[in-house]
Amino acid sequence: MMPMLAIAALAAITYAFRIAGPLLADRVTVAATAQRLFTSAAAVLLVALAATSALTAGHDFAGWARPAGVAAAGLLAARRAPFPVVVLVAASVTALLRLAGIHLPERARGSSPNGLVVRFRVNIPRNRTISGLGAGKPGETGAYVLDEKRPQPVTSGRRLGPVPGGCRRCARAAASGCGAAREPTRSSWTAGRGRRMPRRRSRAAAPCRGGAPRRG
Amino acid sequence: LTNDFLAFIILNMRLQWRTDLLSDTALVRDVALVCLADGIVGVSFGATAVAGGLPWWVPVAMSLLVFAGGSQFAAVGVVLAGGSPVAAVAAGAVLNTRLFPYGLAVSDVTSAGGSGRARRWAARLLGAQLVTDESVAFALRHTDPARRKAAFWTCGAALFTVWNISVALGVLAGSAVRNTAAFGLDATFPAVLLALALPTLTDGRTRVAALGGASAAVALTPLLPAGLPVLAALGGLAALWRRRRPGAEVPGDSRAARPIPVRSDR
Repeated sequence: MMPMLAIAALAAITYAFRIAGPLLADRVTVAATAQRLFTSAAAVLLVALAATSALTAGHDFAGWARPAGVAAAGLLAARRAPFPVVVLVAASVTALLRLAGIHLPERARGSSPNGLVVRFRVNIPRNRTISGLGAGKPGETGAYVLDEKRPQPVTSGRRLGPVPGGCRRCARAAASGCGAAREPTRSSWTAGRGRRMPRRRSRAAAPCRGGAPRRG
Repeated sequence: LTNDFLAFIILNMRLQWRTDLLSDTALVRDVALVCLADGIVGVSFGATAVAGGLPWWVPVAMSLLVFAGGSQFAAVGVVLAGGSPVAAVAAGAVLNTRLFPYGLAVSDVTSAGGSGRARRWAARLLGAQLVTDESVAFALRHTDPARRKAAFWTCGAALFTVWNISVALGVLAGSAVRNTAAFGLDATFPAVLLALALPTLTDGRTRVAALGGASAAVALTPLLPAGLPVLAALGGLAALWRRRRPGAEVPGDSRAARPIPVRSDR
């Protein structure tokens, strides 16, 4: 979530940089080294942001389709291809690779907007098993990735994000189509990106189909 | 605004091929080309932000108030990766530091408003918001004050209009497409950033700093909270600094000699 305050702060800082030039024009000259540092800092930030957003989703690898598309686009950009071509190639190469079966890994899909995956923490009561997730150990705390078809545990003890809404009854992600109880709870449900689902839509969504684990 | 890549090419081509043939029609045509390119970036910005789960007003408000494409992409990217708003604002602010020297370069143009004192101040305050890579580049192509002014205000006003409309269109498009991953839309964001960054990587040391910073950011992503790895990449600048010391006065370094770079650097 990006609050209005953050936007206002960024806008204010940006405007301050803009207006400072005309206001101080008579008094200030920017040294060439400082000038170069600004330019380099911008380049470093952009490349780092491009690299992380191409390779990772959340804390995990984003799969090969996206980096491949970005690499193709980067090659074209380096050869000074027109901008629309660069953007179109990035999207189409990635889309074609996904069509060919190179999907986002299950872990990464939790942070994709329409993914069916949720990470959550389980506290298993005394010697119970969680159906659909396999046997858990008492008191285990870990992260699981849930898919509608194949729930599967991921590494234990992963770092988890903030707690958004989730289905209290069936351990499904709010995005998975289970409309039951999507209000944010104080339980330990977390989704990859910590995105809060809109409540309005949850009422209209399909009812919980059950079958998935109950929290103990 | 953001697409310096194309803007840069266009400007350079014009500078090389038809330096003295610039007329008003040429200005309008060049501005239109830059606006077209930026419009595409704006659509992709709006679509990315909304598809990532941000409410519709976030990209719209940012485009109106911040009006600096690179930093808008950076801030939204940090937030979509799960980073804190503070990290997002920091990333955006660092990208916008270059607007300060830009403002110095075009101070004569933005403040040269009408006759009265009040009108001059209004023009100065309004003109400051229109300071972007492209509008400054257009202004710096001319030496004649009247033409500088015309170029700056034409480009700035046109860009502001086109950018905000295209972001709104992108918001609509992003809300309409449900499964953005299937269309590969998640790959457009890093591609845009890369296309923006590549023209600025002419300098070998900057390249080293950028590569080092990017590697560090990717390596740190599994370990640090989201948003911080990108800021940590600024540590790559240290390599740049250390390397520059021995040859502080690099002969033939034309970019250092030029007080304000015409080229855009987003």
